[in-house]
Amino acid sequence: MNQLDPDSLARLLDRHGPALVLYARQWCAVAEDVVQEAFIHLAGQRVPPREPVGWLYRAVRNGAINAARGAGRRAQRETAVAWRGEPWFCPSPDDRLDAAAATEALAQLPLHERETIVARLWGGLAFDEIARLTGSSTSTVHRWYRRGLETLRERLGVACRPTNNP
Amino acid sequence: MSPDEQPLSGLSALEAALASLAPRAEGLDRERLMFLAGQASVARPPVAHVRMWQAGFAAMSAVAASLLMALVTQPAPQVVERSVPAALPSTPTIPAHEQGEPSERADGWMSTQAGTDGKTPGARLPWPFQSLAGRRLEGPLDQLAAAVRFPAALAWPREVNPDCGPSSTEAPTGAGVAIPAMAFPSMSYRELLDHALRENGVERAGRSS
Repeated sequence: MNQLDPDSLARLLDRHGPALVLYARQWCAVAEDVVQEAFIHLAGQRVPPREPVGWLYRAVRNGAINAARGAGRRAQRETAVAWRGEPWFCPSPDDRLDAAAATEALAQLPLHERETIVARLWGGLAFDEIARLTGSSTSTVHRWYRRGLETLRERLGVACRPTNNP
Repeated sequence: MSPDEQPLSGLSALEAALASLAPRAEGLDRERLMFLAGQASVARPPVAHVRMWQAGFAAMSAVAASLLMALVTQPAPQVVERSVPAALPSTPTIPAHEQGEPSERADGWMSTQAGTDGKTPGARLPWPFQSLAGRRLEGPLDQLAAAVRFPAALAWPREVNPDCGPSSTEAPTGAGVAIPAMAFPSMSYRELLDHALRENGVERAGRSS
């Protein structure tokens, strides 16, 4: 099997680059550097991984944790340091949520819930992939996801709408 | 139904609202990342080759260091001065034609293989006279007699040589006779032979003329 071709790498970068940066921000402030290193590492693989997206999330997670450890910060303080008042999302007038408010609400969640929500909503990972990523069971990850969303709903005040309604 | 397919009651709107937010990634330089990824994708030597070269370099460095240490720490070469006595002149080498196993002829003369014709006894002295010619007799003659067996033809008769001790009527054997111990002055065998021949009234071929 050949190396990952440049087009596939570019597609992965366009599709998952921003989400990976947001994922890495859950641990460290140098999220862009961590994501860049992960992509370079992926490009240098002689045999590309079977699931490049999952491989990238794992590489970014490990790199972000190592970067945070290198900086000598505690895991609970990482988010506060990483979030310096700058929103994690691009502000847009069409958004139904305020980017800064969403960032603040998300940053106040526990790390495992925050990680699960980011990987699920913006990364598009399945629950079993997130479970493998975090070393937990699928049901546990699902529970974290649901609890985190409920907390965000309380903080953001998003109106509940029935699932079957458009 | 898997958890991915289970609807979260009352949370779908929030999921959709959150998913509509686009994460910021201004610090992610796409062009630079692709350039660095292209560099990383260039074929690199396998890790095993790198390890092999590293191990070889380490081994050669260790050898060089050990040789350097041995060169530095080894003592200077020690010069041993020892007096060696000069070699004494060796016994004259017996010519090759005289080194053969002596054979005894019917007339009692000992000759080498080179002189077995026996036709020119005056031209060449038979064995062992050639090897003994010129040597000085430093001791009594019995030492010579113990080492050399004279041909029977050379044994002088007792009745004509009163200096040889008590008279004996024994005929000389074919194998030769031993010269009895006598107090001869120090002289060479050639001189002794000349003396014996002169006393017996025999002139050597070279001297008769």
